Amino acid sequence: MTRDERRRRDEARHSEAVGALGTAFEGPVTEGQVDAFVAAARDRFEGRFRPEVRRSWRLAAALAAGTALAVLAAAFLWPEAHLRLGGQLPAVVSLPTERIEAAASAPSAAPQAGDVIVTGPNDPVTWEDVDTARVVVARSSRLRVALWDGATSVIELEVGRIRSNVRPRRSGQRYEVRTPYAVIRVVGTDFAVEHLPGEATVVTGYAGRVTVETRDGRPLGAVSAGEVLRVEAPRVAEADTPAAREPSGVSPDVPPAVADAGVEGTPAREPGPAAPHVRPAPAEARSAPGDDQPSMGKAADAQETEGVGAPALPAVADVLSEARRLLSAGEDERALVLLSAHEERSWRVQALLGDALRVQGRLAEARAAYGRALEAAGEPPPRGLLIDHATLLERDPSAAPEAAARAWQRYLDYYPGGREAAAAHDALATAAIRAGATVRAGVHLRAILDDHASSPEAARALARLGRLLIAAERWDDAEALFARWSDDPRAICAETAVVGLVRVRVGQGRADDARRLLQSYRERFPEGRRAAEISRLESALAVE
Amino acid sequence: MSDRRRDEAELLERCRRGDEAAWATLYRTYAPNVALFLRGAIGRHDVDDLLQRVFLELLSSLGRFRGEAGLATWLQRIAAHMAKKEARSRWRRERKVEALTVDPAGDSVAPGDAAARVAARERLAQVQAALDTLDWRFRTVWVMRELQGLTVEEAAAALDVRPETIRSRHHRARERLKAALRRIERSAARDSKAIHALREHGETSS
Repeated sequence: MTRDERRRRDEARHSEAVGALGTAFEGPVTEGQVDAFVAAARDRFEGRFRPEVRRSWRLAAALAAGTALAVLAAAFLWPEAHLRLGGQLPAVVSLPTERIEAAASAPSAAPQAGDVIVTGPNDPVTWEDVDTARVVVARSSRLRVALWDGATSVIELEVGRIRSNVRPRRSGQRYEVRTPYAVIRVVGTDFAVEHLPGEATVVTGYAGRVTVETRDGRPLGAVSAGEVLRVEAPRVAEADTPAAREPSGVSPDVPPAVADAGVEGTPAREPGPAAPHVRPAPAEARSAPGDDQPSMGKAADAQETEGVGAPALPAVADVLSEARRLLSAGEDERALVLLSAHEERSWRVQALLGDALRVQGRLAEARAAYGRALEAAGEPPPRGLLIDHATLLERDPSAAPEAAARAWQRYLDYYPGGREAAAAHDALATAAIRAGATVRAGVHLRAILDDHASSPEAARALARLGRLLIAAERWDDAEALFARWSDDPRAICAETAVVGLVRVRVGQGRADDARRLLQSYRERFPEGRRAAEISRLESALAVE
Repeated sequence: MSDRRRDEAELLERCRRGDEAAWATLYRTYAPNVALFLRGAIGRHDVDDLLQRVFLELLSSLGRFRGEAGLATWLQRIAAHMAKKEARSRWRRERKVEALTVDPAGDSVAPGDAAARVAARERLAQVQAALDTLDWRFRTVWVMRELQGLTVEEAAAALDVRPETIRSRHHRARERLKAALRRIERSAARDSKAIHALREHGETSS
């Protein structure tokens, strides 16, 4: 069959599927359903839609909105208050997104190459280009947009601070922030760059990852979520070099020194090709996930740049609790930002990050997060984590099937009697059947039937083991197996066993016995799940 | 304002006033399409309850509806959001229970002779199994585009993503579905061969 023929056949199959599912899923709404809905609405909204009640409801809503906006305005006017919360997670103001947008300064359109943006002491600027990034320029900053054309975005930050929340990259797309001391190139999504002429360039990661290098291309390191990298000004340039005074794209002659940020008393290293140290960011970098306002308060700026009094990080329990709250409120993205910023701290955070990614359908990333969590958790690995990891490996088409089998085997090694042991055996049996290892598959299937007989996997194991025995024409073994289960109190197991016995009888050439069993099946399971299979067998035996 | 928009606005105003007849009209008019989406997105079962919850949510959010998007788009957004939550809670409850037989299609198969019914039912079960292999993001887009016939822009508005994302997910969903259908068809062909062998065996023994 040629490629075109295959494609046409695929298209035909697809069209047929659309037709079949469309017909199956379409259907009128019955009057009973309409009545049930009206009754439910009456119960739920009784009195709410009366005009007098509506007025008071509106008044309450207006008051609530007013209060929320006041809180929000305070947060924008006194951002230091937010930042002084130290290691505690800030209180989350839950407002609809559109209201937050309206309260903040409206993002302006994307800039043009050559634009110079200067912000005043009280006027931060935000712009958003849906295809590239949302950028917040802090107060008292100055930058030049060197390039901004959709494929390449280059910002030259001369002084101050910007925060970039970069959209996922397309192949070949480039996003860079340049300061006189460093070039920060995006690999991930959310980061801030602050440039203090004559002092340092400070890069803070909020989510994803950025790489940092000198202006002449020498790599300085990478900054991931929750990390900060401080690139010190070259010593000789401290007072007089053009780079310090006029940092408009001039490369310093001496490579910049790199020092830890936020660590009290840490001296800057001597200029030279020292390896950069990447340390957890101060609390500012970890606070207010999803909050687009960069550090604009002088107190916080001093705290970060002088490395004095870096506040304690929030407790892992707080991070987990807040992330769970966000997830349960459907705010997956904010939960992801929060968890990404803290994932290095605990395997529990990594595991919850995996959950959040999984909820979003980002299975490969979720699998990777679970894998990291397993590595961090040590021995013995947490049971639930092993299960999640193995389950995702099993479902991810990009993962090797053997990897899933290994993960399930690891689970069984640690928890042979665990509540998912039957599922693990089932997965291992599947892998073995796929690999043609029927003996090994039989071992796992028998383990389910013997050790986990009451598990939901038992019925499937019964069918699969029976099928293997029938395929091998081991009629006596198959008969013994099915006979043992034919009176099981669970209908699904008993039904499987009876159908299996019919197949054994057919295989043994005992057609009359098979017909009798079919008759007995019809009596015992008039609404049986395997009616279609039975019909086929009946046709085969010409019973109809 | 178009006639349709005006009718919608009037209906919603009556709903806001607590007019039960308007609630019924709202449900009668829009529920079939929402039900189609929910069945496609999360499966054929347990949709009635969720469908009702979607409309209750619509009523409770009428105060926020400004009429900028059409009512159908607003409703689709609510349905997509609630279906996602439902899928997530099902995922949490999920166990590796795999029925031995796939979902029988019930009465949805066109009437005909028994053999044709069985064949159609089996075919439907196969395509449903293929649909089940798609993950949430692809499945919802596929259902919106292929079954509901939404435009790229409408689907993007309902899922709050960019049109390019819809295009890309739709393309990938189609490719994945085709691959799944290929696999399932191959497996069915093997079964059919086995049945044929069984039939021959039965005939010789009787």
